[in-house]
Amino acid sequence: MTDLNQILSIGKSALLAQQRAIQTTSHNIANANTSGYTRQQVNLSTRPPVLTAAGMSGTGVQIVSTERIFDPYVDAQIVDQNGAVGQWEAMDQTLAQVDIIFNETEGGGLNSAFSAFWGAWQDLANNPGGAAERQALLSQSGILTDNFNQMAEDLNQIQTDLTTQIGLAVGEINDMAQEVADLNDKIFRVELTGQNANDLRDKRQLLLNDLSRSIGVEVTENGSYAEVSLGGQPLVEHDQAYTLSFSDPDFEIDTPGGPVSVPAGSINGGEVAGWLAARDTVIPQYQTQLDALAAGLIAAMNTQHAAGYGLGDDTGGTNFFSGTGAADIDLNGAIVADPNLIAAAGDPGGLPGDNQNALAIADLQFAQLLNGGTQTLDEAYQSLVVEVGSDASQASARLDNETALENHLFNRRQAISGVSIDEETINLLKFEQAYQAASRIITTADEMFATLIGMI
Amino acid sequence: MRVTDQQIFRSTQNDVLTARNRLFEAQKKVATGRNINAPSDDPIGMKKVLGYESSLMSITQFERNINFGKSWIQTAEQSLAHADELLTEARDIAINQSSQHFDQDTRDSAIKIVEGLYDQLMDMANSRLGGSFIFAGYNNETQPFERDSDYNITYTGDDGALGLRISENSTISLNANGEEIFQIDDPGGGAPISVFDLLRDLRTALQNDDLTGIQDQIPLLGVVKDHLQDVRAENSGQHLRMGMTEAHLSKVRLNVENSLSDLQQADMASAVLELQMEQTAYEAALSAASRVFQQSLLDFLN
Repeated sequence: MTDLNQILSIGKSALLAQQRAIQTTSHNIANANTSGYTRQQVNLSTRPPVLTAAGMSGTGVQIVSTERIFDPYVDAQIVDQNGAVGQWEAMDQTLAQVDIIFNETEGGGLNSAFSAFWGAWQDLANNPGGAAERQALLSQSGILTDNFNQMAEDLNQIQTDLTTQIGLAVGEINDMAQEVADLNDKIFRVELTGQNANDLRDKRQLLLNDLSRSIGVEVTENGSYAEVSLGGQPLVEHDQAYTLSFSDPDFEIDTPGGPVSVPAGSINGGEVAGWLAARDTVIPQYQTQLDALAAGLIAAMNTQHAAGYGLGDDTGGTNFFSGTGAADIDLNGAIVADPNLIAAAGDPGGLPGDNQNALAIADLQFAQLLNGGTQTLDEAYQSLVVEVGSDASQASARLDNETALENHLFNRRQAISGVSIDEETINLLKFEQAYQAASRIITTADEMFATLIGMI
Repeated sequence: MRVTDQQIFRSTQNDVLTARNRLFEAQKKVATGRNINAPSDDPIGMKKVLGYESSLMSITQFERNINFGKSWIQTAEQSLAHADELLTEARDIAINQSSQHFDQDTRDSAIKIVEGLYDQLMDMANSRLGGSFIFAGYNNETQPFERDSDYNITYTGDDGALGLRISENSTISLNANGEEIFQIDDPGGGAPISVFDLLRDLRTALQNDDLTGIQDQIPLLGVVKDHLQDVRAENSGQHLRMGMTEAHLSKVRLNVENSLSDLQQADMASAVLELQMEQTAYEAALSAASRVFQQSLLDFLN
């Protein structure tokens, strides 16, 4: 009788095992398109054999574990790669905006404004007494200064926007860190009872990827916990998340031991790193050069202009531009109010035919005023445009590279942990057949019982 | 290596998006007709484009300057040519009236004619170009030559020369010094003599029947004519120089425009061809994508 019971028991173990296997397979199929899902596999093994009169006898099948198929090394690489992609995405987007500021292909722009400005001075040289020429010069000069002002403002605005974005990102980072801490706690509790926390771990891994995308964190596996740190300082410890705040230009983490500073330079990846680099390193380079261009123009123009005389003027010494850099360069208000102060004449008295100073000023176009006397104003601007275009193009190329690497890692992870519907479908068939066979065992045992009882 | 469904989907998606992106770039090229649409498209190319555009604007300005210079010289030439005629007539009168034969009537008309010549010469010396006097130096809004009732001349202009930039490397100086133009050096070594003073002296000599006086003016008038000839020759030289520069600038302009066009102008034929290619590639990617998704094991199971 015990043998018959044994057979029933074996049949039951088979039914349950195959049923669980089908459940896991169904779970896999259901999540075939779920982002970050790691396929699960049921590990079957034989139940411990028992000693019978006829020797050791098998007792059926049991499920040892439902295993999550993954490679922790690949997962760690993906976290890092997310940081790299985030960083270069941020840089690429920002530089694309700067690219637009310096883009003159549709006309307008500083290059043509400069040319028109010098042309207006030449026209004035041809007719220094002409009121129309003076007006035209004022108009062109206004366009030139407006261009400078606008570009400086646009660059500034980008920086302001980046600061805002970083502030917003910090809010999201804190939310994500808190979720990671919560998941750490749940996973720990579940795994403490010996159960698997597969789906929770998938969720946490996704969060870590997103977190790294946003700001380059370091993740260390510690049993059930994922410890997250930023620039060497703890952000998530066990089930506690510490608040990150942005104290421009560095960051601060509010740890139990007091606030800790995370310098901007110690953040190695993520969008935040990209934004910071763009705001504090790359854009300032452009601003410096633009300001140098404006300052060079202002200095050279004012010196030469002050050396000349306006129409009917005996004193001279008037400045043409006011301001010190690209943001505040403007026409001298006195000249706008009285265009006759424009110093076209070279000799005191400012005779209407005296164009000596106007010629000298027009010649500034070809004077090598900048970069230690090696570049004209036009050339200096054109060099700046090359720099902007190069940086933008390089950021784009770098982003493509990092994205390609990300795709490669994605494929690697998929090869290990991804769900193949064909594969799972075959598994379904496999387990279903075994289930059907197991039910046969039970009916067979049942018939054997009936036969036995029928004998009584 | 295991290939999963997500892998296939993502890979296909990427390929389709890449093809779409390339199609978009090709469309932009055809629509704008430009190879370079942003500095990041081709940074060095962009620099060259900006440089060429600057050059073209400079060349246009130089051409304007040259046109102005040529007008100026043409006006000066006309005035001086006419001045030459007037002085020839003056000299003829001097020659006629310097003979012993004295006739009061012809004397009187000669004086009148000389006075007329004086005033006409003054008109020439007060020539204008577009509202400015061309022989007044820098003081070109005030009439440079005025006379009083005794035919004494005053010059209110100065010695300023009008500078003009005709190319990146050369400037021209236009001689606007009326005083210097309408005067000669004294052959006797004294102070320079104004042409107008010569005519005044001729008139005075005629009025006083001063035969020697009349005769003295004849060689001097000859010197004046030579001097004006020199001035005109110099102007003519400037004009020639401007003409040559203009021709040169024209060639340079052509070169720059060609270079700019090569760099920036998308060759329509090849741009449209590229668009076609990308369109085809895009359609192929879409078609491949649709095939990839069609089949799985489930299609074959009952």
